[in-house]
Amino acid sequence: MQPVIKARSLRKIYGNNKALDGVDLDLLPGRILGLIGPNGAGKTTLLKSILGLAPVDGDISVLGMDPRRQRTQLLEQVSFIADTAILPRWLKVKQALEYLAGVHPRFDKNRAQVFLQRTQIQMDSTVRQLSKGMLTQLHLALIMAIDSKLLVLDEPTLGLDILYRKQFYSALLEDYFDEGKTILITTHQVEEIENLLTDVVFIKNGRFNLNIAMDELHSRYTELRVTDEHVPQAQALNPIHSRPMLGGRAMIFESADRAALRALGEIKTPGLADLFVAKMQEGASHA
Amino acid sequence: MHKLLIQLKREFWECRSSFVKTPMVTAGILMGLLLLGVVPWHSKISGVMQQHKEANPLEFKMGSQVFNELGQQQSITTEAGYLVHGLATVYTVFAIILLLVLMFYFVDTLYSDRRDQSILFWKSMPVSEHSTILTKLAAGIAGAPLFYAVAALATGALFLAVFLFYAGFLWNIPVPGMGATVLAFFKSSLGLVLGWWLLVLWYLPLFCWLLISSAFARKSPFLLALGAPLAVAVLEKWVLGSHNIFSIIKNQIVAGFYNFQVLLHGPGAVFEQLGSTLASFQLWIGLLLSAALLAGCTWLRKNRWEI
Repeated sequence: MQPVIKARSLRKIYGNNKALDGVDLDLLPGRILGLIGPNGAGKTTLLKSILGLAPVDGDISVLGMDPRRQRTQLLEQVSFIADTAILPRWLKVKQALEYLAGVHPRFDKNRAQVFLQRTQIQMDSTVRQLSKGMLTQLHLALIMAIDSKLLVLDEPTLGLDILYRKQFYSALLEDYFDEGKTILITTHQVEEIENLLTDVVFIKNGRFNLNIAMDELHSRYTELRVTDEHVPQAQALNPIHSRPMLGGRAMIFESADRAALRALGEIKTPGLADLFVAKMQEGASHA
Repeated sequence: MHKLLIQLKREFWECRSSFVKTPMVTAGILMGLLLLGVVPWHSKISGVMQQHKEANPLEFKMGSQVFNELGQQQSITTEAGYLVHGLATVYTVFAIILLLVLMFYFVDTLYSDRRDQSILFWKSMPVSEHSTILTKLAAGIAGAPLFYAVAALATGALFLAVFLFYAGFLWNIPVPGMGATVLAFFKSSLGLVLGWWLLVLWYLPLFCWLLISSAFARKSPFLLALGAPLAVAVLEKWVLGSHNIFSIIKNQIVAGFYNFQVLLHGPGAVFEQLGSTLASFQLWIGLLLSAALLAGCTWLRKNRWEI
């Protein structure tokens, strides 16, 4: 299968800061990839290179096209929401629909209207008059009405309350996503997207320190909850991370012998947030 | 084609008040002044006549007769040429307001969406930067002037109607015939359109300079657009003791407006002027510079748009 995104040794340096330091990525169609990393880790730079918004060194092709040189053509099949606050404030809702219908060959105006009817958004309102949650709903309605092959979401739910956040992702899954589409999401709210991802990438200092399918993650990583008395034994098995919990510790192991761990306590698959913390601190404690 | 049209529409959605409302309001004010002006003037003239009648009851003739007699002595008859002049004055008011509006439009249009980050929304659409910039230029030099022209012509038509009614009916002054009046109106309308395009030929480099300032500036595009040439001109004066840059810019501005003023003389003069304009070396340098500045805008929008 032809990957939607194929990137090889992407590099980008801003001054002394390596925003991307040799990144390879293959994203296949029908996947939902979560790109997770601390601020300044290179997430936005990577997204910009995929969307042709900034030049980077290395090879990148999106849907077989060069995002820099074939940007206009590429954007007929790639949609993105960069941040919730970017809709122009003077734009009216109906004008947004008219504009997209005019410039975007894959935009379905009726579809967008159906989505908007479910919300409180009025056609005559300007963006300025909408609340932050409504803005996100509007942007999502516009984007979901585009029959694109790749959707890139950069912190799409930043600053929204939990109701809107849940609504956002359920709409995305129920009304938009199908096997012909591919989604790439970056967010800090890891827990909320954990269950919808098929793949996950952790990025730190411009490098991927984890790039794995969620199925594989379940078999490779194990979290052990161990009581104080078994801590020394568990420690001997080289956990990649250990954090205190009530009456003991929770340790995360990579490619460990599950039978041996089970003898020491309760085991489960680590949550993405805990694994993220573990992987981000990896190496740091020894350094 | 539809895509370009909707992009043009977008500019009008954003700049509705300066592109559409301003010429309408200007026309409203000018029409109001015109109509209001007639009333006091009329009562003043009537008053003078009355005094004249009381002072010299025997000699007094009707005002129209006075005018008629005067008309036989001197050329008080209104010629169609005067009408063209009068209309040109009306149109010049609109042109000056339009130039001010365009100055602010061009200096802001490639900056405001970068400042509020909405550029990312526009950049998520399958529209090339090249066509965005050309649409904005077209909206400024051709789109907005359309509304200003309609407003100017409507005001001009009212001006003619009031003038003819007042002079012809109220005071019985010989006025040009219907044919000559309509011809004067069409001549000056055509002069207005052609004069505008002559002006654009000269002002294009200035418009493009404002655009590139708008695309380049991180803080105040206006300051950059005004400050950079000023700084270079002062530097030239200081180092070389000459003032060529200042003269060139001044010439360009004066030439543009001089060309627009040609509309005073109707379309024939405009065509004549077009000949000498196209023969001007400075004009062609200016147009080449405009093309380079536009290419620069496109590059900046692609590569250096973040503030």
